[in-house]
Amino acid sequence: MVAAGLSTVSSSPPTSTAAPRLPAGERLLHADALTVGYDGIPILPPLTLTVGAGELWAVIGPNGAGKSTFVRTALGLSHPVGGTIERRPGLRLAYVPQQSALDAIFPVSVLDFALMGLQGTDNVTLANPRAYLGRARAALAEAGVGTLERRQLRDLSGGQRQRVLMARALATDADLVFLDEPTAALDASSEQEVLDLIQRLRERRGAAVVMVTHLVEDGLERADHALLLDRDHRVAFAATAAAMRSAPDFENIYARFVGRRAQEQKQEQKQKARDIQDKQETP
Amino acid sequence: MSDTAATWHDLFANIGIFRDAILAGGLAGALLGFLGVHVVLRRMVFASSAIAQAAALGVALSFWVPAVIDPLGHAAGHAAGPGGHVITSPLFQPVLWAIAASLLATLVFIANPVRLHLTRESMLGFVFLASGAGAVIIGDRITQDAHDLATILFGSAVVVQTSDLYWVGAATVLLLGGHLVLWRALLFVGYDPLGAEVQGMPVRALNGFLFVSVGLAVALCTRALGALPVFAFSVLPAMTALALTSRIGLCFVLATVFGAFSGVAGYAVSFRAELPVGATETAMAAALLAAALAWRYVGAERDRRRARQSVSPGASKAQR
Repeated sequence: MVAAGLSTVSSSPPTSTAAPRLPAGERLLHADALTVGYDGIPILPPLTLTVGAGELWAVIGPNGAGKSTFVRTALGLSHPVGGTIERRPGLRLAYVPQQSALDAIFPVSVLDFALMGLQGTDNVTLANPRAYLGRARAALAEAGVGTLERRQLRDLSGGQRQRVLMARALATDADLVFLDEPTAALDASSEQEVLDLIQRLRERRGAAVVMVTHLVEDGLERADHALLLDRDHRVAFAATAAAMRSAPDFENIYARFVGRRAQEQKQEQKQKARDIQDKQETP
Repeated sequence: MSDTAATWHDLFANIGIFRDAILAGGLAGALLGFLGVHVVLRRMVFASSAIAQAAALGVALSFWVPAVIDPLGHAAGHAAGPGGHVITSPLFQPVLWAIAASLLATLVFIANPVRLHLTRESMLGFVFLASGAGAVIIGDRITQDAHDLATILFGSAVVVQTSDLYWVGAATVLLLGGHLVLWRALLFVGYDPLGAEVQGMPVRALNGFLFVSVGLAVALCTRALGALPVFAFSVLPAMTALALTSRIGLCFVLATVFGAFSGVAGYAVSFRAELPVGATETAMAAALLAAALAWRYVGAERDRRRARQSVSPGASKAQR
């Protein structure tokens, strides 16, 4: 059950701020013995964690580990099976979907997509979009895609598209941003651009970022905290990234079930990138 | 074909007779064209077809149920001729039955059949087939009203009742008004439902509004025009608009205009060429889509040719 005093997500019109709104480490979300699952049936053991302002968390685990179920519960879209989850009163949330979750049949321009970041409880209809154009354009410019505002989202490269997705998160001015596989299928330079944007969200805006990834090594490299999930082996383990690496649970799971495959995939991706680069450089 | 073919002059000279049907066609085309953009983008094209079939079944039931309950009174109504064949109870107004059946079919969208290990598409297929079979079977039992039923099923309504025009007009004003206010919200929740929900958008309420408005629009327009053109208006104008432009706002405008045009021009052409009304309106909408696809194909070919020329201008000179 949800703890008493739990706030609802506020979508009051955000104010664009360059300085961090919240002091670093300020508690934004706290899960205490939280159990997630479906229809009252837990799929993971209880977990306890606290997400503070400015932190970068990686939710790691293989496909089908329970990452999406955890995220839905953390976002308040699914009820916990057990334990409590508390959010800071007035907490603003944003969710950046996987690129593949967005149907390419929709003719949505880059600017239209950024404007969606300004819709919410208090602004469902976006009745006067012109009043919000400035904020949407500022977010696009901050993400380095300002010149693409008239382009169709579906026509962009994977890297450009991911930056537009990040721009919407910037436009929401959220305190806590959930990113679903933000670097999946990106080449090395696009990946770095996205990581720079995540850093900007944290440093300049003071937002906490929770990044969901099935690439364990990637997640641990970038995040300062990690949540390792594995439904099959009943593991839900939260720690700092450094502590995670030395934990016996992690070693077991990572080596036996997750890491080997993830490392292979990563090596394959890097090899492909090198091959492409070699081909481009070959006259 | 009659001995003396109808002319455009005949249409304008008798516009008072046909005005309601033309207006109903235009309004239904505009309303369904606008809603059709959501229908097509959300990949629920066959939903409107299934709902239209359900509405047709509702109309068939509205004829059949009174005959079962009060066979003598119903037969007496027929014996009195068309003028005497009046449905006395408001309970048996076809439009009410069409709305009820459509809203029941709409529940298929809202219900989630995953727990039954079924997909939404398969449930739509069930609604379509059960409604179609039911309408044909019931139509067989009410032969005296068979002409009315054929009108509903195939859209051969040359003349639309004034009451049906009012229903369609009211639906157009109310539903289109609501959708003009909510189109961006509906686009957001259709495109990225999870992101919208996280930002506090009332996703369920918005989806409910969309589904119910599609159900109501289809039901009322099916009663006035028939299932075939209603299905066509809720799909083809939106496809035409999406083929012509990538600007989402313009898509809604064009779909509305193309829908209205198909309804009005389709009726006029059917009069002039003495063709079935609903089928001609459908063919008009299909012709617009075919023209749009051809236009797009030609444009894409031209762009490809230009791109090739700009990439290798030397190569094209050498070829010459």
